[in-house]
Amino acid sequence: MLNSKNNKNTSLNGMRIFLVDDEDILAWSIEKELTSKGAEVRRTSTLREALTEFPSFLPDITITDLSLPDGNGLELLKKWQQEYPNVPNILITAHAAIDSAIDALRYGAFDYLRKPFKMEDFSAVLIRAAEISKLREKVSRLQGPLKGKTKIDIIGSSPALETMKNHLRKIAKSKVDTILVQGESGAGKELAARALHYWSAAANRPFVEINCASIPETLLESELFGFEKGAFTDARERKLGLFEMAREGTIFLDEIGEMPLKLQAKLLRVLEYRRFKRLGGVRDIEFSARIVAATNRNLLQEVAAKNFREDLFYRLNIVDVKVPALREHPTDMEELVDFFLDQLCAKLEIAKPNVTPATIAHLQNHQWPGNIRELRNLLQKALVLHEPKTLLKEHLEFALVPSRMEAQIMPTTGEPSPGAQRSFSLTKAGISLDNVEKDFLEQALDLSGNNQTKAAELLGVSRHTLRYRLEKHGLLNTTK
Amino acid sequence: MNENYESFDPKKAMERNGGGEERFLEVAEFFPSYVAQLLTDVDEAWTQEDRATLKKNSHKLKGSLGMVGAESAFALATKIEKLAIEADRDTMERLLGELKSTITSLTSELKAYVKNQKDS
Repeated sequence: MLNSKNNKNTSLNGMRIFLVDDEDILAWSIEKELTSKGAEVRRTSTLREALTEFPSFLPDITITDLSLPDGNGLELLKKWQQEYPNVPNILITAHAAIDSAIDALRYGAFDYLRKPFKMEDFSAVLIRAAEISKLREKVSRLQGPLKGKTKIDIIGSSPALETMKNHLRKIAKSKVDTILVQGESGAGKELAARALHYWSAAANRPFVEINCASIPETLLESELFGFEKGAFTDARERKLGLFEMAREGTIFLDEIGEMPLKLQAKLLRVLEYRRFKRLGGVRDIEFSARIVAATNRNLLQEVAAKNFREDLFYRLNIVDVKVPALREHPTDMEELVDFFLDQLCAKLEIAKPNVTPATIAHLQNHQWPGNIRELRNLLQKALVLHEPKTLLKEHLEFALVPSRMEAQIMPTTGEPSPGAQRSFSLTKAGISLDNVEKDFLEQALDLSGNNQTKAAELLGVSRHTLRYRLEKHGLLNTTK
Repeated sequence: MNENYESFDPKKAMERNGGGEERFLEVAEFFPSYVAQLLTDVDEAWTQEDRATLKKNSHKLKGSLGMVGAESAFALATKIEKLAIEADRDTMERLLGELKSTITSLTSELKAYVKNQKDS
C-alpha cells in the first residue's frame, strides 16, 4: 500500500507541486498521494486560474492536464518553460493523440502520461522530476547570480560609497542570514538590500519586500506568514506569506523600526528558530531565506524608548550596513546628477541639459534631508518645468530646507540693530568667508548664464576683480 | 475479488488512485453523486445540440470513469467523445443510452462495494 503516514522520507518531501486539472477524482487522488509523501500541492482547474495562482506559489514541479475547460495545457507549458525553465512540467491527458505527446515533448515537457495511469508510475515520474528540479536548482546556485538579468548599479565613487559597496559585496557573498541596513530616508537602503540579494549566490531566487510602516498590524502578520483557509472570516483560500514566497531568496523588511511590538515578538521567534506557522495553521514551516531589515530610525534609541525590542535589535544587528546620507558624499553629486538626468530625460523624452560646475557646486551645498530621492525629485521638477538646455541654479527649487550656506547667512529682515545697517546677519555658529564668496560667485555665474561681464555687474565688482576671484576658487574655466 | 463486480475493476481502481483500499473506498463513496453530475452535463450538451461541449464533457466523464476502472463505461465515453461532432442523431442517442445504463450498473456496484467493505 502506498498510503502511509510515515511515507514522507521521499525526494518529494517539501516539494511544491502545482496541479492543473479539472477532473476532480484524479486531482483529489494526486493531492492525497503527494501530500502523504510530504509534498505541498496547489490545485487549480482552469487555465486562467493556473496563470493567476502560479506566481504566488512558485512550484518546484508542475502537472498539467492537456485539455482544460478554457484552453489547452500546452499554452501553460510554453509559458512556464520560457519563464521558469528550471521547473519540470509533466503533462497528463486522456487524449490518445500521439501528436499531443510529440508537441508536449517538443515544448520541453519533462514527461507525458496518458490517463488512466497507475499512481505508482505517476509517483515514479514525479520523483524523477523532483530530483531534476533539485539538480537544476543546485546548478543555478553554483552558477551564481543571473548575469545581465538584474543589474544593480550604485552610483558614486566617493570613499564613503566605495566602502559601502565593498561591504555589500562581501556580505552578499557570505553565509550571513540576517542583515540590518541603516540610513536616512531616501538614502538608498532599498538599493543596498537589492544589492545584497543580486550580488549573492541566491540572485536567481525571489527577492520579496514589504514596508512594515505602510500596512496595518493585522494585515502585516498575514502578509509575512500567510494564512490557512478559514483562519479568519475572509480567509476563503490559503494564502502564502512572504516568508514562504521568498524560499531561499531574500526577504526585505523595510522600515522595521515601525513594526508593532506584538509582531516584533513573533518575528524574533521566527528568526531564532527559522520556522513559522501560517495564521490558523498547525504545521511548522521552515525557511532558509536571508533577512534584510532596514530602518531610518536609531534603533538603539528606540530600544531605550521601549519602542523596539532589545532582543530583536541584537538578533537583526548581526551584520549591519550603513548607507551614507547624500550630504556625506557630496563629491558623488556630478555622477548622480548625470545618472538621473540620463534616466529622467529618457523617461520624459526630452534632450539632456548641460550642467555647469556652478550648479553642481550649488547642489553640493544643499543639506539633502530627503537624500537621493530628494535629488531625483528636484531634477525631475526642473526638467518638467523648465526643460533647460543648461541646468542652472534658478531651475532648482529646493523644498523647505535651504542650503547649508543659506542656513548660515540669511538676508536680514526687520529693523537693523542700532548703529549698524547689515545686509546679512552672522549666526553664532560662524561662517567661512571663503565659502560665502565662492557661493556668491557661483550664484552670479548661474544668474548671468556664465557671462563674466554680467556676473561682475551683479556683484558690483570689475570684470578684472571677478576673474581674479573666480581663479582663486577654481571657477574660472567654467565661464565665458 | 474482481469477479464480483462486472462494471468496474477494484484492483485497477486502487492502482490508479493509489493509497490502497482505504483511498478507493473514499472514492467509491462519493463517485455515484459525482458521476451523476458529469452525466447530466453530457446529457444537457446533447439536448442543447452543443456538440463541442458534448465532446468536452464526455472527455471529462471518460477521465473519471477511468479512475474507478470502469472499462466498459470508459470505452463508451471515449466513443462518444470521438463521434461527438459528426455522429448522426440515432448513433449518438444509442451510445448515450448505453452509457447511462452502464453507469447505472456501475453506481449500484460501487454502492454495493462500499457496503461490503464497511461490513467486512
